Amino acid sequence: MRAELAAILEESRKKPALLIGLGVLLALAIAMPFSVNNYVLSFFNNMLGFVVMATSWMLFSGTTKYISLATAAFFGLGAYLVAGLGEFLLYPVLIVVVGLSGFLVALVVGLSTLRLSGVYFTIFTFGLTELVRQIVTWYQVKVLGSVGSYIFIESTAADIYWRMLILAIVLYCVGFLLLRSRIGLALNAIGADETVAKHSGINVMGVKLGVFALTSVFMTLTGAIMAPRWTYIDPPIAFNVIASFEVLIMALLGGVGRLWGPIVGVVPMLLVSEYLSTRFPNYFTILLGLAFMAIVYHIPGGILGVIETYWRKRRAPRP
Amino acid sequence: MLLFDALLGGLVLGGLYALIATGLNLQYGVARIMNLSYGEFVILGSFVAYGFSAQLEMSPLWAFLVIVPIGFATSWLIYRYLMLPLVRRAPNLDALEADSILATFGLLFVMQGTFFAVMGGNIFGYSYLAFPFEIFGSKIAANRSLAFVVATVMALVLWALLRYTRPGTAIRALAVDPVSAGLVAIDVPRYAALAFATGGALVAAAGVLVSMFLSFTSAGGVIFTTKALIVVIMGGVGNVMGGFVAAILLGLAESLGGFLIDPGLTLAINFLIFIIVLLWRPKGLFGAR
Amino acid sequence: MSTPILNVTDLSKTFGGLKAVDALTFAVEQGETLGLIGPNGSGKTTVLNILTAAFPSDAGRVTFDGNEIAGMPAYRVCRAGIARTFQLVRPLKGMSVADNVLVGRIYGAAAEPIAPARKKVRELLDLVGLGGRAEMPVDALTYIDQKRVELARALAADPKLLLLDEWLAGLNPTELEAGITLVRSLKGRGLAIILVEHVMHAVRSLCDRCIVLTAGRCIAEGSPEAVLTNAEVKRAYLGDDGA
Repeated sequence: MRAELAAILEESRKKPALLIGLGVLLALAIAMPFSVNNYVLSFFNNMLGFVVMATSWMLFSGTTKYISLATAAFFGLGAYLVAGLGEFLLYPVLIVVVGLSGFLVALVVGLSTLRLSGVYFTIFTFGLTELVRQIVTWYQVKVLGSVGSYIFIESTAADIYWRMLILAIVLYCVGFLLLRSRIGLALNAIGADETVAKHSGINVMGVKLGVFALTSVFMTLTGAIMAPRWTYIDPPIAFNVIASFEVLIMALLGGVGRLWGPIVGVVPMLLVSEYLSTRFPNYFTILLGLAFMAIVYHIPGGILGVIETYWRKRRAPRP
Repeated sequence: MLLFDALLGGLVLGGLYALIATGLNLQYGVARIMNLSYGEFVILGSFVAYGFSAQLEMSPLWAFLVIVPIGFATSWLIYRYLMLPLVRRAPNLDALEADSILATFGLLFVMQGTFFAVMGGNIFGYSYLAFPFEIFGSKIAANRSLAFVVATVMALVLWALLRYTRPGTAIRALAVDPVSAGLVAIDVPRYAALAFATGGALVAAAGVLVSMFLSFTSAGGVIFTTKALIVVIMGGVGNVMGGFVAAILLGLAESLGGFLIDPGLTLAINFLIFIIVLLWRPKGLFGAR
Repeated sequence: MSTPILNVTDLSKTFGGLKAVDALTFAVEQGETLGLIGPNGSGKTTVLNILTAAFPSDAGRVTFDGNEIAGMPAYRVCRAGIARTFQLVRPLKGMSVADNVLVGRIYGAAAEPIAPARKKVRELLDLVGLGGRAEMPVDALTYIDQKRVELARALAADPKLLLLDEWLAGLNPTELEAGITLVRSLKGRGLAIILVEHVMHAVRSLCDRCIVLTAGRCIAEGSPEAVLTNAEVKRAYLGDDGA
């Protein structure tokens, strides 16, 4: 990892323009809440949430081809932990507890399903959101006596924005290093042919388990940071299966297997769904489903895939 | 006697899960399509039965006349026009699995959204044969007993069709090995479509039976899909008898768990059993492959 | 005589009712090339699969480089120094030629960091004759070139024992000669090789010793010439009439 960092530093020294550009972008991003109204800020919060979740999804499912349908389970878990523990713990402690919980849940899911073929994992994650939701509801009814919780952490939209921005930046750094490291190579090898991967010396189970748990932490933290947007949450809000679906759409729309793919998918998708959900609220789910199927059938490589094919064709010498 | 009631209830529930899972086995075990929109057909069947019972004030069993052809035709169209292109473009079985998961996940939302748009988000239910019925000194609702009997008859008919007819034999050959089946002049896409469509008809019919004693919502399909998948995996993919045993096991566990622990945790109990079985026998209780 | 690098004792494997490998015992010396020959279905690939822990054996011991390897997961067997190619070529599709080989380099017994590994990958690609095509997607290569990639990937691990599963099958005469020369050049490096092969010309010119399997049992052992003229071997291949 140290050699990798050195290489990256070396590389960036050669590209001062890129470095300055990134710096300016970062400064603008940090200053953004001072210059926009709450509606715009809320849109950006939404966007950052989806960017983090879709990128986390891509880092594991996009590379290994183990399709997870459980994004909402981790998001909801994070939101509910904040609702339940928010009053008792200091914020930094809370964040650590939430992150660890996401990690542990992912470990349990991963240990029981990741050693098997991908379809078992998908089935398990398909039901996981419903499962966590049922357990939380049961706990609230039995132990607390009521479904739903008030969230006692006061956070302004700008607070949420900055926290999400930090999370997104951390995720991008982790993802960037991960994909360039030997782990990234292993993830892609597993996605291409798991048998070959293990006969080439890759600890397939370890890599899958570790990366699934790591990316699940980011999904859980997103739920925790976003929770104060609502003052009251109940299971249908926190464990919204549509959210898992939207994350999947965004990741596929952008292009799987590339770090920048999800962000390319999030922005257009969010704009379109904002439009559709206000214009056709009753048909929103249907339209979302149709849009998704169109992506699966017509642009399986996503927007970046289309662009890459186009460039390759243009650059390839014609016979 | 409450425990015995729970056992009997579990058996009946298991019987219905068996029927639902058999349809999925036809789709996943034979046609090799992992269909995440599967449970939506249960809801479709339930809505049609609700229409007959609550709107037309007829017996919900009339719904079979409508829903079996609809379930069959819709599933056939889905296979022919949505799944077959994926089968043709997939370089291997893993790729097909991933593609079919994604496509049917989209289909799930299209169907669920349609239910919401047409029927709304209420809880639906109707009363049919809602009187208790005594069996071995234990009381069970008449509607549940009837559902169980009809499910058993349907399962037997299906078993006989698979066993003693030519298309049935072709479908069983397909379940074992689609490539070899093609080599002995079985029209693979045609019989895969037939299996897929039969699965769709079966599950929609099961939806009618389920609605006779369980209330349902537009969003309820996901739970049925999950349970059917769990049963199929536990029983061993493509193994209909294994699926039966797994379904009864799941029904019993759910009913007993609801009785002994809490009725709000049925899915958790299902998943617990699922995990234990997977850790103990990764290819299912009776999985050969 | 030096101690063997691989010792296989009483190895057995049954699939359903079929004995694929039946109490098989053999050893491979350091730097030796052992030919594993026999008719289709005689259990050759099953032996390779057990050696690389693709699945467990039912009985028997396998010691490699002094360590018992039965029960090890596949990736640890590879890191211990056994690398393989596959009967039906299996490139890592969607990845570049260089990355295919890089995987073997940084995860195999060599376990090198990425930067020096990349340099070594270039050398290996030159060795197998794919020097100019490092950055091409592996999907774009011909079948034969994909076989070369697979060999480079196996060699990249720095194995002490290399298992070649019909690596020379399907090559045309010119390619075959080039392939034989390539494998022969590997022998010079002290690498032990198990060669599963139907191309008898290759077996003759590459193997120091051969064992012949039928129905999972060893029916003959010795130099290629001796084994291939053995009456029982001929019978196994051609049936009773042919002998």
